[in-house]
Amino acid sequence: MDRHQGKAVCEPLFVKLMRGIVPDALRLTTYWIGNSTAAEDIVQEAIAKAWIHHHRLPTIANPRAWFFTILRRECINYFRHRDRRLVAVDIDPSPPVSPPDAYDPYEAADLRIDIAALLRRLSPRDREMLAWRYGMDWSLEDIAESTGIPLSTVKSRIYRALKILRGRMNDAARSEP
Amino acid sequence: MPRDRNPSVSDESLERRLRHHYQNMLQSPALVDQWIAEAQAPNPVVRPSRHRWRAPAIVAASVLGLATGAAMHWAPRTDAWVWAATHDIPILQGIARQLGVPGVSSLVASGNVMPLNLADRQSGVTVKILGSYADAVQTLLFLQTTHGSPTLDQITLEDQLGHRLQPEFSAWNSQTHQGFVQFSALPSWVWIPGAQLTLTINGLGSLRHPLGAIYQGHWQMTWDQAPPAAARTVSPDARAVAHGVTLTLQQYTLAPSAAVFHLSASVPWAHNVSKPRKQKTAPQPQFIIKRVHGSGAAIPILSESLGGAHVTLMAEPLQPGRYILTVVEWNHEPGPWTWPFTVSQGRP
Repeated sequence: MDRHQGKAVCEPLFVKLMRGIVPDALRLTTYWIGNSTAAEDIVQEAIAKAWIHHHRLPTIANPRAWFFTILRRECINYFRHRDRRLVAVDIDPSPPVSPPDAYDPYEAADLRIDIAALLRRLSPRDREMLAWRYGMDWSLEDIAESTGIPLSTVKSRIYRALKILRGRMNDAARSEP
Repeated sequence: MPRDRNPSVSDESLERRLRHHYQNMLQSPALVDQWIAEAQAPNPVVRPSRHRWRAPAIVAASVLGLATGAAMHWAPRTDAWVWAATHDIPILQGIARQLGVPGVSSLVASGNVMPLNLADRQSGVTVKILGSYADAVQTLLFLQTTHGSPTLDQITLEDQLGHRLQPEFSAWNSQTHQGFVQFSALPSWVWIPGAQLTLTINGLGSLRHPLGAIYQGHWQMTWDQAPPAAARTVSPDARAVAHGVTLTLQQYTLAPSAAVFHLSASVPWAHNVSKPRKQKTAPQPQFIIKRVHGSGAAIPILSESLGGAHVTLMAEPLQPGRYILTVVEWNHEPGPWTWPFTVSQGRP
């Protein structure tokens, strides 16, 4: 494939991939880092970096996983460098919570708990898995396929994140007056 | 998935709570309404300036998709563009006529310039953006001020990724305080998510006070730029040899506003070659683009940029037909170096 043929083939492929993937990427990134404004920047950076290598698209077996790998790297970078940013990008304020449909004593208790604050205290990788599973509502198998992370690792990370979160929620509930 | 044997907060409750939390992050009704209104607005909206890119259009599309369950369409604010493309723009035509710059008049007359009506007032001076145009070869801004004129060293134009476009040329009518500034082109991939541009002017000069009466201020405006019409880039890498000098037509781009040719030479252009000169003035390479059939008239060359062994030519846009690009002379060596090429029907 010469340069022009490659361009003719790869650009439409890239645009098609981005059209399908960017809404999910924005949602995931927003859920993961908790800030829609920063999420836009991160996704844009990921698109720019993906574009640099877009000529490889025809040879990539799973373009979706390829892009999400780039995006995940950008998100991890965001967490690494967040404290060094000149302009602090803080978490969006937690939205108001509506009452649950059915009475659940545990849920009634944790309504008083700011879940956004608890999520912020999780490690980025734990937050990522919760964002995939409960934000995007993807199956474990779909997460494994899109991230390229082994299924067993996905399971164990979600289990660990839930366990930590649950423990902190219990601590917070006990400390409530 | 393994389960904790003795949870105080049930797994189901925690999972439900997490889902609820994430849904609320993007489905605030007020925010959705705001984005819908923005996406349907007939005129580009001035947003508060930001250092980094904010892509409300993409998020608007995303949130609208979430809210309606409809398939995503990743094309920000097409309504605004359709409106812009069909809107009458007499003021821009007036500017182009007054300044008489080849290429710009025809561009404005073709209706390809996106009308804008953005204004920022600082220190008693208002700067307005009346229109903008971007394609694969250049970006143009049509401006108006109440006092002073923009100077190339005080004006910056950036896209949402922080790429700074190079200001290359400006033409200004000091009586009407209107004119335009030409910048380099945006990178092509910026158009995939949609381009957002920010103009910043840090000072305005005055022709009446050439010693530097400057209106100080910080005028800044941001807008979504309409996507460019189709352009075509061809990279023939075609060589022509004469008198031992090889010139190569590396690439040319045919855009609605201009045709741009990139040439390179085996011998850099030298202003001080020792060869005897007939003319007293400094030698200039001569470039001609002629249509083969029809009138055979030369296509006006709008600008020549000569840097060592590289030349960039910008000519008026080319209609379909057969053409010949000729370099008449290079370092006093008479050519000609010629490259025939064809602009096919319908493209760009």
